[in-house]
Amino acid sequence: MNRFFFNIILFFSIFLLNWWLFGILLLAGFFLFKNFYEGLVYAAFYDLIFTVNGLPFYGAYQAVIFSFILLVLSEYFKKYLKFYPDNV
Amino acid sequence: MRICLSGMKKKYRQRNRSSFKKIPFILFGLLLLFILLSLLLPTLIPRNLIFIGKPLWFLRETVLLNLTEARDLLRSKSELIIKNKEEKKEIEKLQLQNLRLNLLEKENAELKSLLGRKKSDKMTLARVLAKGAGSIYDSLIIDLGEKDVRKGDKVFVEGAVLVGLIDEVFGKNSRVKLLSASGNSYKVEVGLQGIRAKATGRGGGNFEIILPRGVEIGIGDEIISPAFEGTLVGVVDFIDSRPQDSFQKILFKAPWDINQIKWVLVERNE
Repeated sequence: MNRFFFNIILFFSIFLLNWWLFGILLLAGFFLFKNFYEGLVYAAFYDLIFTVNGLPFYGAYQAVIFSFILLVLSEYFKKYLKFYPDNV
Repeated sequence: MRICLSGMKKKYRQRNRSSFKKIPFILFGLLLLFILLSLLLPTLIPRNLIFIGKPLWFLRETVLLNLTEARDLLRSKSELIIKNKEEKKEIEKLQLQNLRLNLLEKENAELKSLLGRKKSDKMTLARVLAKGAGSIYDSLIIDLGEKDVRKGDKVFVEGAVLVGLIDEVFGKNSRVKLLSASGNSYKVEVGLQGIRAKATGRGGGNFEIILPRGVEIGIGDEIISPAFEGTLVGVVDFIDSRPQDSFQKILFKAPWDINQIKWVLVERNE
């Protein structure tokens, strides 16, 4: 799928979809594309809109933290999945 | 005509590996800049994102409303007749309750006035742009801004039930932190006996209270918060009491459904 169009869909999903649907799309992005760092940016956008004051860092930026973990794990596991070519 | 290929070298475009290696550093640099901006200018980015999101949220509400109406058209007539009768009965019951509540409210206002505590008449209606169902933080985005509200203002549903407080103001919009947000705790009083307890938010309009096992609490008991001038916070929904435990866990939820909130009232603090 074209990465540019996926980015547009993901950006608009922050506003139009529920958090878990946005999360599923984000996860899909990490696996569909190589080095999908822009997913972290969209997660940060989500946190900045909806997070509330008074929370510790790990509570206020949950989407960013989970996205970072998913990004690292997806890049690691992609090497072992047969659906991906060797140069991923 | 013969084409001699023996002397030709195949040339392939070399991938610029050095530029690929720079991408993670660039993106992490951008993210770091992003975090710095959010710390130094915390409302700059959310304000602009909410500006972009506002028409999209209106569009979503319109589409969902039209889909709901289309779905209702497909329902069978008999089902609608039954539902109509049930709802008429419910309306009659609520009208009677409403009459009683109006009298009690009037008496309450008179008593407060005698004690020197007047209720504020400064309530402003606000539309909910983004609801809690779309957020993992139990927050709402409303369309009132710095001209109408301030941080800490109380937010009500249907005038009497406290939903949350204004958490942040972004220009023409604001964010409401719901009372049930995880980690929030409030002093409350339970039931007619006014049993004092501490309620902790569990998210999604749900709260929990821990009380000693011997304390008598019933399902449906009202819970008010003295921290917010005795406003209604919820009703008891479930009691988890086991003989081997010294304490009982009381779960209650706010009388409002977070998915159905479309309008709220904001009371300006004096």
